[in-house]
Amino acid sequence: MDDRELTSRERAALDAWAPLAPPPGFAERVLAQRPSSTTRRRRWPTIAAALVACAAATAIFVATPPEDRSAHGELVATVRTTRTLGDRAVAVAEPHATLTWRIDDDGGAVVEQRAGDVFYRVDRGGPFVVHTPVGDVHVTGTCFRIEVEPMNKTTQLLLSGTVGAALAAGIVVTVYEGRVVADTGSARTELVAGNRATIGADGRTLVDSAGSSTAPAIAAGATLDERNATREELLARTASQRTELARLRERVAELERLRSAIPDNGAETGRAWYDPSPERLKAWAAECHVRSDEPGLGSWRPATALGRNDLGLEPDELADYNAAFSEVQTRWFALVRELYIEATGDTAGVETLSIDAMRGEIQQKSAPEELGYLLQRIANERAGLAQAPADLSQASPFERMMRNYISLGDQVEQALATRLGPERAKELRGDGWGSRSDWSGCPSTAQ
Amino acid sequence: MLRVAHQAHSPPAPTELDDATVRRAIAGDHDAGRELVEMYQGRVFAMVSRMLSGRGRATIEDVAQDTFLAVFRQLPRFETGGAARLSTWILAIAARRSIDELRRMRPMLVPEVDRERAGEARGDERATRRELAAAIEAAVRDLSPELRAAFLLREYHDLEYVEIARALDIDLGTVKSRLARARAALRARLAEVGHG
Repeated sequence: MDDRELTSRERAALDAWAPLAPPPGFAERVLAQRPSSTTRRRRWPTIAAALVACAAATAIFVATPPEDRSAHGELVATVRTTRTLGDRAVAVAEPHATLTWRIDDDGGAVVEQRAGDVFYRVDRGGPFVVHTPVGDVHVTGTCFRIEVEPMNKTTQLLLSGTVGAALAAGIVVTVYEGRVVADTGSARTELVAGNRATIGADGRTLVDSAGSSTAPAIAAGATLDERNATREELLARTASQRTELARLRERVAELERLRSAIPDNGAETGRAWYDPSPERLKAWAAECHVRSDEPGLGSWRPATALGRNDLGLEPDELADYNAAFSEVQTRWFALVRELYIEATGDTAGVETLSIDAMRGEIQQKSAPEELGYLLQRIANERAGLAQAPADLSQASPFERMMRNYISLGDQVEQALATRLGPERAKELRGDGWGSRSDWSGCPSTAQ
Repeated sequence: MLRVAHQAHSPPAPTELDDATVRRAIAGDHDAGRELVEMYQGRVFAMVSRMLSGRGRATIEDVAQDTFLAVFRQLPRFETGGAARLSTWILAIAARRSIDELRRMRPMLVPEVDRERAGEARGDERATRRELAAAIEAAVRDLSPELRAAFLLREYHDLEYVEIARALDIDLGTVKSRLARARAALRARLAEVGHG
């Protein structure tokens, strides 16, 4: 091992590599996105119900086909949605929850939960971390739940120009089994089964008991002081817990029924992300479930000879590859900018916001439940149960953006096919481009 | 209010924000918040841009911005007047965010061409310096995210071993071994360009 410190000559050499300087106005840009620090408490399910959910999550995990255990994905839930994350985790996302995840080759998992309420069941393995707007939650093997508390609407409107999904007033972490570590950067708090931590936007962490499996302290929908509660209140809580348990059991049974309706992998043709089988598409239509893949065009940069091997490209393919990606990226960026202006009227924002931030803003401006209605229509169209609209000129900016976004993977493949041939384009796409999205959830009311 | 010294006899520019300004920033004072960002943005960009070398300016700016948003969220937990310097604490957040970003992205993202380096050589000294910079950048880019962070915090930001250990949540022995590996990689690259 070379323990020698760098020599003065070597240190002087380091100065040759100059860093990037901050752009003008960077400080104001940061401050414009600085959230306020209001917090509010949310109601909690019973511990007993949560433990049933732990068991349910395990059952779902065992029943999930390996190809559905996505290594990389995004979920915007409009109804309660269960997803497997890699080989050892299940997430149950409540409506309005937003999360993305990535599983590394070594089994390590990084989840980003930007909004909403998500219940996790994680088996032991590599590192598992959930990033939230106010800190990280490191997990070993456990059952836990994170709620990202939204800011109130008025504050969000005052901060227009920022990505609404990134705004949060705090999080609440409850641990049902095992242990987790909540890390706000300045403090690490270990939480064990039965603990609940409320972490404010200011980083303050308040740990209290979420009850135990023998004496649950929290009733479904309300906190109850057992010492001072009346007999009627205790009976009401017990009834509420029984209802919640029954509901969760029904949910497990329903998920198992849905899963058994999907044919075994061996009998199914097509790819899970962009070319699913007709049977799978029909099952998805019932759940308003849409999947898409794209190659991360939001941050794509032309490949160089250095990165060619990673992509599996031949030397003479590099220029065509870059041209194809660049063509689709340019078109996509132009569309998002155009739709952003149409949705917000903010012409200055297109000069400063990232494409992903503009996407977030366009979605923020969409009508309530528009995502659910749109998923319903697209899932039915893909399953051949409805006709895709021929003219989108009257569609909302959000619908035009979504429809284009979910077709980006095909667009890139097509652009590659015109240059390298359809077989090679399909080969490069493989089982799907790296950035994968997974939307689920039907609207709660008929349109 | 902080002022940068411009005259020869002025005291040296402060390298840390004073406690009173930090407290005002915690309380939500806009001007104090701006002073905080302006005081540390150069160091954060230096850390993040080297960590994410080749990932493009947009990504680097996003991560730098994300770092400061995390700083503001967590600032009330920072002990003013304590043993840790605010700059070290902020750099630790920048390092961790950069590591996460490196893990998140696929290897398909490759370096943007540095205009300065891609231009015509103007004199031997400048060409040598560019070659040196490219060698160092290549050496750092070959390191894993964790090795990169340890190396940059030590060699570009002068953090002590114990500060690096705390920043990256690793033990002292791991810091030493990571730095030794990183230095060896750097020396090998420098030797390749005749700077060994």
